[in-house]
Amino acid sequence: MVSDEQRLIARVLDGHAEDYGYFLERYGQEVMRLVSRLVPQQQDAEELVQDAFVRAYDRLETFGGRSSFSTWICRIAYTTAVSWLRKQRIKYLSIEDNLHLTDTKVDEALDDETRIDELRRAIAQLKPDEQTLITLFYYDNRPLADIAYILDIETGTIATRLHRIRRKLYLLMKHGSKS
Amino acid sequence: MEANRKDTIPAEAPKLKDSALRQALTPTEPLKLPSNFAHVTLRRIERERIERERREHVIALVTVAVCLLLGLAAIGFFYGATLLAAFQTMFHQSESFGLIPAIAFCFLFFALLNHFLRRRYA
Repeated sequence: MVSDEQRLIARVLDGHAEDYGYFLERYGQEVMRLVSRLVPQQQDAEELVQDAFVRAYDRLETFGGRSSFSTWICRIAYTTAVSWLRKQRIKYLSIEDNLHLTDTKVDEALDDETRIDELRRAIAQLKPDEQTLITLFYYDNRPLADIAYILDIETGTIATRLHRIRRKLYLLMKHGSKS
Repeated sequence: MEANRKDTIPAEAPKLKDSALRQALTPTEPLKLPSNFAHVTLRRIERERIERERREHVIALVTVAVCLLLGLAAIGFFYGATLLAAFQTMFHQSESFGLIPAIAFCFLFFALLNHFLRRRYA
């Protein structure tokens, strides 16, 4: 499959632009899922997905095949969405970490299926990189190397970041239930 | 052997850790791309390619025009007086003056030929 895609990319670079349709059909929905997590409005998300694919087409010759096309396009879509969000000047809630908070409490809260709505609200308040990280890890079950590539971070820092995000989610849930 | 294996299988599979978090991450109403997304995007790519080529063409034309003008200006600045004197001498000598319409005709002929060949074969 990968070598077929490499062949298709070579054809697209050779001037057969119509062959790029394969990548649009195959990975469009996956990219939409990633972008819609950060930009929930249908029209904006659609435009960003299109922007990402157009940017990918313009830079297709830089795709060296070191990652899969799916990971590569997700990275482009992520940076496109993040720079769009930056232009919107959206403010994110910052919350102080509680040093006395035990991991057991966090584990219990994130396992409690009666608090899913609270969790959804808490997730919506996370920063874009944090939302993307937990989506890629918990929902898409992506390998750590792919997550690191998409978010442009070191693989070794993912566990620490996830730990911090879990604590933040707990605090946001607590903060939400108080207010 | 079979009995032993059955004993080791737990009665209920252990629950996946962070199950609530995983469920919360599942979109309630997942956004979907329209069915003509690929077609529309390919059209946009084509449109942008044509626009880029047109821009590059204009930039090339402007660059050539600027270089030409700069070249002519440089020739005028450095050799203007000499050329003027030479032209004046040529105008005064009737034999040399007679060549000018022929040379102009040749230039015009080659310019038209170039234009025709480009339109026909380019």
